[in-house]
Amino acid sequence: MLIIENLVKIYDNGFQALDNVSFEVPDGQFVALIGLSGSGKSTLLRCINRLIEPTAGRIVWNGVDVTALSDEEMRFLRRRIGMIFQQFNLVKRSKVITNVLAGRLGYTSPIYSLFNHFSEEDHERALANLERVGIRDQAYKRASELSGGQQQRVAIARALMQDPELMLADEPVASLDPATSHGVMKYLEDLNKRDGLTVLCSLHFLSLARTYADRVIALKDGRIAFDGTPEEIDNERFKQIYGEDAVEVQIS
Amino acid sequence: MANETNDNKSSRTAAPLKRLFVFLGVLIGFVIYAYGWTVTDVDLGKPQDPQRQENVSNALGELLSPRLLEQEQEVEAIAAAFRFGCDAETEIPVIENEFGATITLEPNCGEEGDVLQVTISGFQPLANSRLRWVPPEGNSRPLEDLDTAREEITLNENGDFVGHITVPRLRASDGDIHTVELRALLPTGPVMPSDITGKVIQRMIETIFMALLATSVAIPIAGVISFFAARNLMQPISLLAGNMLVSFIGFALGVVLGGVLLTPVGALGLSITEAPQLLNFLRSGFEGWPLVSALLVLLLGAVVTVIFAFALLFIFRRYIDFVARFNARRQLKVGASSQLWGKKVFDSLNTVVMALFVILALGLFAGWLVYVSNELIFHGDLVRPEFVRALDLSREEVIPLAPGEWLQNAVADGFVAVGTFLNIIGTLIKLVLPAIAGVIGGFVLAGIAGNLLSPILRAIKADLFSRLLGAVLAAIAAAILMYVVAGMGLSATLFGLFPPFVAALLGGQVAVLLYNNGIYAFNLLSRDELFVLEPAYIRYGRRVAFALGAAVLFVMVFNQLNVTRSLVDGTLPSRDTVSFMGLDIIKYQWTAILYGLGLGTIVGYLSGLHASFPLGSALYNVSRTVLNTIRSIEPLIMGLVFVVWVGIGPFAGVLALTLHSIAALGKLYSEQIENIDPGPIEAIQSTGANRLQTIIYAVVPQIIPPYIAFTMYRWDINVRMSTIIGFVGGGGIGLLLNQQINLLRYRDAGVAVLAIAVVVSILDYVSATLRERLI
Repeated sequence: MLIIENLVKIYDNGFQALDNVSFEVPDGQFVALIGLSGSGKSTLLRCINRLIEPTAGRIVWNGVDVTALSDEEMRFLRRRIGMIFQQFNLVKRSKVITNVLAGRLGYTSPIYSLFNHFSEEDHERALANLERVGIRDQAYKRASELSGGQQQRVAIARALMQDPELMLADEPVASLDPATSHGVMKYLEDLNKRDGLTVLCSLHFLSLARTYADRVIALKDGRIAFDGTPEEIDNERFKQIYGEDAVEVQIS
Repeated sequence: MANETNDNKSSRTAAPLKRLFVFLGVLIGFVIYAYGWTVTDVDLGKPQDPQRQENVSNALGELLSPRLLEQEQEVEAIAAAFRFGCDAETEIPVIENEFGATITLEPNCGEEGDVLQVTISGFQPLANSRLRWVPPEGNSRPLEDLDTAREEITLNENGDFVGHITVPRLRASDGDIHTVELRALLPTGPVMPSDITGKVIQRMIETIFMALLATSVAIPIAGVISFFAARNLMQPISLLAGNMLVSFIGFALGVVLGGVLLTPVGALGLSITEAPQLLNFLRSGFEGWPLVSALLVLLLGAVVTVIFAFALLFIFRRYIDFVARFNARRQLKVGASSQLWGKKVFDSLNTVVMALFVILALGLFAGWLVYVSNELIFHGDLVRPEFVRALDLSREEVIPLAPGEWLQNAVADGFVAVGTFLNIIGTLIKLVLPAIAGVIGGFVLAGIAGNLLSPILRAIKADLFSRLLGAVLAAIAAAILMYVVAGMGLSATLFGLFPPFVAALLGGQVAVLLYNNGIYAFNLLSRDELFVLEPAYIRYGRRVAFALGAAVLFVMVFNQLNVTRSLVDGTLPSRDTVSFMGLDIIKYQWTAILYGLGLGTIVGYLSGLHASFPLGSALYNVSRTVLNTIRSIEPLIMGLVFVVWVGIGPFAGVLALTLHSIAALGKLYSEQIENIDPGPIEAIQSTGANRLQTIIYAVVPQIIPPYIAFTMYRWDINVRMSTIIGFVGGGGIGLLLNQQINLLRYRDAGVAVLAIAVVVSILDYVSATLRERLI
């Protein structure tokens, strides 16, 4: 259970990205976050694993007050929260397998990391996770040699290395073409349905949210503009979220 | 819309004024630029002066005819007789010349000042020769050919020559027989590289290695510093003030304790390898087989080192696995901080064990290196041929060696080179071991203090107790800081500026805190609004407050410590001591400590334990300032200082270049870190990696190519710099060049200049090619 209470984030330049956001996510739900660019989706996701420090409010996950943790405790917590990004954020010059193994860093002694050492078990796990996302044969290539869709799958494999219970996805398909987008979303869906991971995924296209999400939360100017099932979003609600001039685009 | 048109209108009216300002600015800039031409003494008359033109063409001519090659030369002479006084009775002898050459004087008698025609035929073709007047007693003197007004004479292809000379003024009486001699320098033997060419090549090799050493030593140091000088890595690091203070005090105590307690552990490591003469049997066992014994030492040394390293690694791995297993059990219960207590205590013990392990291993390693390297040098020298060993060969002497002996020598040189290198490394570790012990002790205690006390500090509510505790801790921390800084002030008058500067920073902070509290007190803004929504004038006011507070404290401490006196007289502060609790403390430092105590108390009280301390920014600013300061001092100037320290020679040059390279590479590297893609950092952080792991996995892979490129570039620069560092005694080819120029031997200097040009352009090309391939 993830509980967000009155979350506020004001950046140093005075921009208010989140304004009193509250909601609860039960375990195993697939939640799509939608909204215009700059509506606070990315900030919200990054506040949950505290890549960004919230200004005020509380985040409670599985009974732990995330906002009150010390840095060290936060690192412990982050190990169970996977995250994937719009730009995949792989280390492009490193091998695919190294990128995937990096997901295990939270469980590895920093002294081992000095010598780039991971256990045999971790290596097997990395290959298994690459198998799961269908690119085991690319394991020893440089990450930069892979296509965009493949890179995002590497990023999913990296997140899987963490044994996550919660998966944060920040516009995971925004830099991919429609066909590849569905490929990546299918993997997220699979994690949600088969492994029972809670998924919080910000999306640009409502059609993707309709296909994959159990629930849609819409943000507008840092406030929650809509919270409900995808079916409930009709034309009127759509215009509330995206503004009067917007027209819904289908992604097939 | 209305606003826009308004703006447009105002900008249109402002245009002419703006143009006037631009015009004035350009005009002033032009005048300043013009002044530069006066300051630099530009005088077009000087280059036109014929005397100067001749000088420069002579010097350039010599520089451009470098004495690259030499040939042995032989003097051959032919002579003709001359009698003073045509009426004298002495007979004019006919001198028999070799080679069937003839030299005739016309006339062959006369007075001083007479002009004689000299005719030479059948001598060496094209020989460079000179005519000399040889009196019967006393020194001969050169003669000038009146036709060319030169002393040098070149014979034609048949060895013929016709010219005119004047009979020089001499004390001669009638009837004296003098001779006119033609001396020709005739090349014999093969054309060989000249003496100076050999020396230049030797020095050039020295120069290239100087650059290589300076660069290679600078790389790791600059690499570490660059992370502290990278804004994007440092900016986000901040600590709670309470944590920071505890860690700082822990660090200071740890440095002292580490020096006292860890140094003996390191010394224990050193003594273990020094004590037993492990390889003694070799000295007696293989007499008459020096090469075998030397190779055995090398082999044994390598094998034992590898076994030793593997043993350490094995213990280390076992230990880390044990730690990891212990932590794995703890880690499952995430969250409530009380459950991490066991881990915290365990981690603290763990760091102590690690510190002991590292120091002991370093000591063992250093001792072993020194021991093995000494053996290697001893046995390597035995390989040399007998007579060379006996001679105690000095580098300048050239002794012709048989090919076999030459090979023996080369092998021995190889052994000795490796031995000397290992010896230097071992000795270096040995020398810095106490310092390393201090630093490790500091980090261990800082880590433990921060680790164990942070939950307690976090649990303390922000109330009066927090403020009082903050005041005490900050007072101690500031006093330690001022004590250290004043200690620096005792060593040089310019460093005397440090205590007022640090006091000024603290004073500025006091003013800012007072300012913020004033804003709360007068209800101008609530605490939440402060920093987030504050208007620009509040922020501006804060800066003014900082400047004021800093200025006041700077002046106060400056006067109190009498910095003016020491700056004017160049004297250091007096070392009078005061007694405090049985300790003798230098009065100068005591004053600084009192200021630290006072300012620390105020800052700590006002900010409490929960303020955030921008540790990252502080480290960033300090490292940037240090790098910039060192970088701004030219290696030539550093060379001067190092020559005083370690004497004239390449070592001084290497030290100067190393120091400068560290600063320059540190800056270049850190800029590369600031340019990396931040995405991977975010991603690696989100996996729960700690800061070190984030740097290793997200930062390092991204910076390796630019690091290599800049290192190549730096090596290139170092070769160029090491060519001139010899001018101040720093060794290398510059030393030779300087000598030749001072002796006005421009042809020899030309060889050095040519060598520099060739080597620098080759390196330029190589480094450019390599850089292109790597990026």
